[in-house]
Amino acid sequence: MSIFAEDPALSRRDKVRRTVLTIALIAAFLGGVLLFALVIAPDIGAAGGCGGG
Amino acid sequence: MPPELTSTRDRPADQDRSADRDRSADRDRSADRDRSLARRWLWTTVALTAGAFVMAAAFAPSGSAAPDRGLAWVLFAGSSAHVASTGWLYTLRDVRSYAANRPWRFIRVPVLLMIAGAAAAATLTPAAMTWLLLPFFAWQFFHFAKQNLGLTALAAKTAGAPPLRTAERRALIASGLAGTCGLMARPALLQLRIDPGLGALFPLSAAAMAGAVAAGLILLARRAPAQRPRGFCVMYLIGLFFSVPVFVFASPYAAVGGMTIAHGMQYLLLVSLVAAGGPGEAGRALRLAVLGNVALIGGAVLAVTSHLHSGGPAVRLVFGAYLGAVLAHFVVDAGLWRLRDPFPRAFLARRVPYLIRTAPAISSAADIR
Repeated sequence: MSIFAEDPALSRRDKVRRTVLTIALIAAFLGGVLLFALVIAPDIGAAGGCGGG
Repeated sequence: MPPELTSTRDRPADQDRSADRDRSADRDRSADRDRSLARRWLWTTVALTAGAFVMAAAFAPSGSAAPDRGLAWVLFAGSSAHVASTGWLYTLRDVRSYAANRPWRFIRVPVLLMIAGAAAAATLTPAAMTWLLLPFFAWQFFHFAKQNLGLTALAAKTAGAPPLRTAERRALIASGLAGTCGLMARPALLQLRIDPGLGALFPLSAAAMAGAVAAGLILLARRAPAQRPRGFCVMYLIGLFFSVPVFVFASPYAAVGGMTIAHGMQYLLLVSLVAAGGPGEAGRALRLAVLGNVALIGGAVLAVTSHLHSGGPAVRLVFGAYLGAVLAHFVVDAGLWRLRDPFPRAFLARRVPYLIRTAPAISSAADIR
């Protein structure tokens, strides 16, 4: 059974795996935002992307 | 009367009435909750949109200077990250099933657009490619207008107003098209260094914009007061005035940046609500975490590839695939949020029921896109 399944009857093991994965993904997201915000300043155009190239 | 003296025939009737009252109270509470959530969505969308325009106008750099870090990051979220977040929708099983049943719109055309974009960018010179960016941006700003139309239709629904009439829809689309024509006439606002010789189109576009806004205002005023609740009016006016900065500002970031940020933020809010809603309480945090990572990582990939327009053919191939991916986002969105189709209605009703239930049934024309 996939831990992504919308199934309320997940096994205890799957619930633990889902929780660990959720925490890891939230940490990755927050880390990514922090890294990008502090280190990288995107060069971006007014209409998005490269601003027309 | 003491309970022991109640006839056996009366007792179940009393219990039924009591159960009916309980059910009715539950329904009222649920409806109140739905209305409250719908109001929160509507006013958050309004605040994000207004904030985007104010921020872009306030922090726009002058001339061709680069924006500061804050504006650049908000633009990143409103452009690349929001486009990438469409990819997250494919992580949902019901969306994948729907896509599999409509492979042309949701799989084949997106793939073909990426292949065609890559082939065009690899074979054409960068200068020739810049000309192709003009229709690319025309599609992008039409896509913005369609989203405004859809959000206004949704606002009418959640606010309990009658659906948009054909003339009201035309006024919204006309204002969006006028803004797009203005941008085609002045590609410098898109930071494109080409001259299509359409300078005369700019004042005509401005006049068309003024006409569309005037028509929209008259149509809004013609509604009976009860048919134009405040939330609906604000959303309609936002849609109507969305492209006005094109005709007001000379700086690309002030003229176009606000529209780009507002469009992306409106979209990210709705997709986040979809991720947070729906079945599986325990999976909510996981869905939001996956969405955040898809938007961030996918957005970063799109942002990096958007700069590969002037390398060798192999590098430009990636740039073309980037353009195709953005076009694929337009095509997928135009199908996935079309509320006249049963699946998008069911999809939203399952995940954001408060946006679907709070008012009378949707008319055939009420689309998010």
